[in-house]
Amino acid sequence: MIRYIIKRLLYLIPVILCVSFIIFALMDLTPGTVVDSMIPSDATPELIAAIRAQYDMDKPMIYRYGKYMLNFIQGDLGRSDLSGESIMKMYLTRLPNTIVLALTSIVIAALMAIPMGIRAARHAGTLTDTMTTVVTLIGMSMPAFWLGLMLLFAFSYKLGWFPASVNGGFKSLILPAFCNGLSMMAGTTRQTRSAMLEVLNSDYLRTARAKGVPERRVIWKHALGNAMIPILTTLGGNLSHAMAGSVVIESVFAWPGVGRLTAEAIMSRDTKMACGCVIMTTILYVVMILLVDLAYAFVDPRIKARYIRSKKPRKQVEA
Amino acid sequence: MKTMKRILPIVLVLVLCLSMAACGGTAAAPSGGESQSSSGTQSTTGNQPSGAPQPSVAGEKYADHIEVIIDNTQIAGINPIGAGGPGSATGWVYLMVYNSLVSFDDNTGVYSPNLATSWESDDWQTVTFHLRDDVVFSNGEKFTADDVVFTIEQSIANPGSVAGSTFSSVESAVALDPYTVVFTLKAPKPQILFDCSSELGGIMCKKAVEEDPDKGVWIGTGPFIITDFGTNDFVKLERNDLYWGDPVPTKSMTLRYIPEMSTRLMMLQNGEADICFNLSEQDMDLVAADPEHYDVYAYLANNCSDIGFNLNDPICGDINFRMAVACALNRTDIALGAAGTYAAPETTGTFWGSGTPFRNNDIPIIPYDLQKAKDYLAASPYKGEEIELITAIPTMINASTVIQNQLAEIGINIKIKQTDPGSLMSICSYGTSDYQMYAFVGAFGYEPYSAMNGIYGQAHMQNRATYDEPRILEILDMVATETDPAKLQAYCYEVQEIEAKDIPYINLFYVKQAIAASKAIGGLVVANDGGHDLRYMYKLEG
Repeated sequence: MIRYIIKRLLYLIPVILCVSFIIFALMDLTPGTVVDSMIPSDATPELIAAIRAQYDMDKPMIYRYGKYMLNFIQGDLGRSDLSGESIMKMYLTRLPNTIVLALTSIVIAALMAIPMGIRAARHAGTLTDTMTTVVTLIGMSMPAFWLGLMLLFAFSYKLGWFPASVNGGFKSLILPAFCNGLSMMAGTTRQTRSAMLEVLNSDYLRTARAKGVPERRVIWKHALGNAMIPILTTLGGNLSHAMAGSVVIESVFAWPGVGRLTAEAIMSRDTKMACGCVIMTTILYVVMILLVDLAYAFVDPRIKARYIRSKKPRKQVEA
Repeated sequence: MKTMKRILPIVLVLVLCLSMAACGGTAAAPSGGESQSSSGTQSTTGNQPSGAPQPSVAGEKYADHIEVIIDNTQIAGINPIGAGGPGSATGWVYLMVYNSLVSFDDNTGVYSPNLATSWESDDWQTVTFHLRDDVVFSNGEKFTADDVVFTIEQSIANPGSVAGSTFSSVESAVALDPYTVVFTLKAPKPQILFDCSSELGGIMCKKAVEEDPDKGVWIGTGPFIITDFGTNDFVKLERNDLYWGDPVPTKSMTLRYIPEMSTRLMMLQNGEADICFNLSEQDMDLVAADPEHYDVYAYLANNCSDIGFNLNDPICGDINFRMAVACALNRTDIALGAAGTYAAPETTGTFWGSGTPFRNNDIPIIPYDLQKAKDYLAASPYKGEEIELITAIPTMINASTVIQNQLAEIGINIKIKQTDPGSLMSICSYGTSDYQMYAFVGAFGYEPYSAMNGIYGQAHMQNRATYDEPRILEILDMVATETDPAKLQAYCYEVQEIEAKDIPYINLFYVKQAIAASKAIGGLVVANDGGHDLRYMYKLEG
């Protein structure tokens, strides 16, 4: 398993190289540079040249990219051209907010989606199933932007239960997490329903019931255990996406996460900042996907057995 | 558990229904608000601050803390030697934390002492400033001429920085004694006093910056101290008890950037924020409709919302085409389409800031006349081609649609290309032939020379039309060293008259900016270039 993890982590090198180069190239192709906003309106051509030189804007993109990557290899993401602050520090300041929001959202999504999906599968074709489908369709089709504003209006402005901004401590987390979780819930419910439908009529469940195992145990342990892989994949994918930050949710709820940080860097043409954020997010994303893959082994003994088998030396086949 | 399972979907549906019902409430509100917009403007004028800190009502106390939602500009960094080009809200923080050498009154145009008690110059190339001897920085260090020299040296070493842009005309600074400093400029420039009065020209503490380059730059002589800062998110400020000026009434303020307009409104209505510097027109109407709880401060922005022509383009470079466009534009409808009642159409023919000194209001506007427009168009090289109009920011995107329809009436086929402000500024720059027309905002300052030089100077960024008019360039050279107000006025008037004949730019309207605040807020000094003064802002308790 260690070899597998190392191999997966090594994939990060070409991924980071590709992603960072694409970001640098795209930012370079976009009209405008971070320096444009720094030049006074009555600046002389000499002053403009001096400012451009200060930020290496008089050099080709490949030079700036090479310089950036050389620093990155030494563990330095550099400083934002706009704020002058360390990119790593800025990212790490925002990252905990994103992690808290992502984890809370995924917990809310799982707590809603799994029971709903199971119930829909057990009552497939009935009114309950139809209602679940309607709710999930609404969840899927409602734009997070609109939903967020509606939640704010209802629960913050009208009812006054939650604050509209991040200023209210733990209470501030509820609405953005619910909004984020609701959109994640929709897909996970559909996935849970279809995964459960596949296993609900299995022979081993019939046997368990025949042996007198309580129904709750049959469903929640035996059936859900076997249906867990696709559910885990969906939740893992959602979590990885959430870790990259959601610009929409973070904007509506003024949540200071990495999504907004990245988007703002791109909008202000702060290439180094944008590239740093994207590299960090890429690393986080790859690690999250790896963790999800590893989690398969814990929920499915067959996969765990496969990992263990691959560790044993293969028998030599004699000719 | 079973019951829970049954009711869970129902609860979810109910929650969604509740949200949708809430949505119904918002949809109905703007129409009511719209009818109240005029009352909002009245309330605005009635509450326009005088410019000086207002005393509280007898017996009432000031609240310790004020929560401020800043405008659409974010605060990326607070560092005079960090990247330049800060937005207006960053300027507010600079004004609260640092002091400049000189003060400038926007209304009277008069310079007065600040950190410098007096100044003198014979040729405006060498300027001597005499400094106050009773000022200490917020860290307790005494303020001396060495700090001024250090700030200037840092600005020279960092030309792209905030200080670098502000003091770009200074070649060197020398301390004659602890309280006298001499600036040597690259060329004679009487406007150096204006540069020295900018909130972005705050003086840093040499010792603090040398000890801690990151946080030392936050040490100033102003009435507030920065206690915490999140890039593009918030700034927390506390009162500087060592401040040399009149003590400020509020102990602490938090300035917060909230990206979403509706969230800003809800925060204000919830009481999570005390003052909000930018709301949408509809939201502002809602606030104005509740004068019992809120005050609305409205002011006309100094900058011109205009369209510009690329004079390098064979069609747009032709005066007949530009005249055809000018005759076909109905500014009242454009202003209304751009920002409703929050835009004031230009009524004269000048292209000048609404509050910039020496504005020539006698230049007649080119009247709306479709027949004349068609005649001019017939005389132009335009043969029905698609003309690309680049635009950015919501008000100008709205305005562009109206312009497109109005020009279609005389047969000009406009294709609107939307982009972001950064791209527009880059695409529509001096000397390029990459665009034909743009609809954007021309930035005017309070200092006429800098404003004119930025827009009409050769190779300058804001000279987007590539308008190199020989007489204007000649005037710019003369204005650069002119100190006589009468002559300055004559030059400024002449520039406006020349521009009005050539029309490289057509001024359309000025946006009315509005600030919404709780009734308890006072002491705010509003500036129509967005450089508001929050230092003496207070909130009455109870």
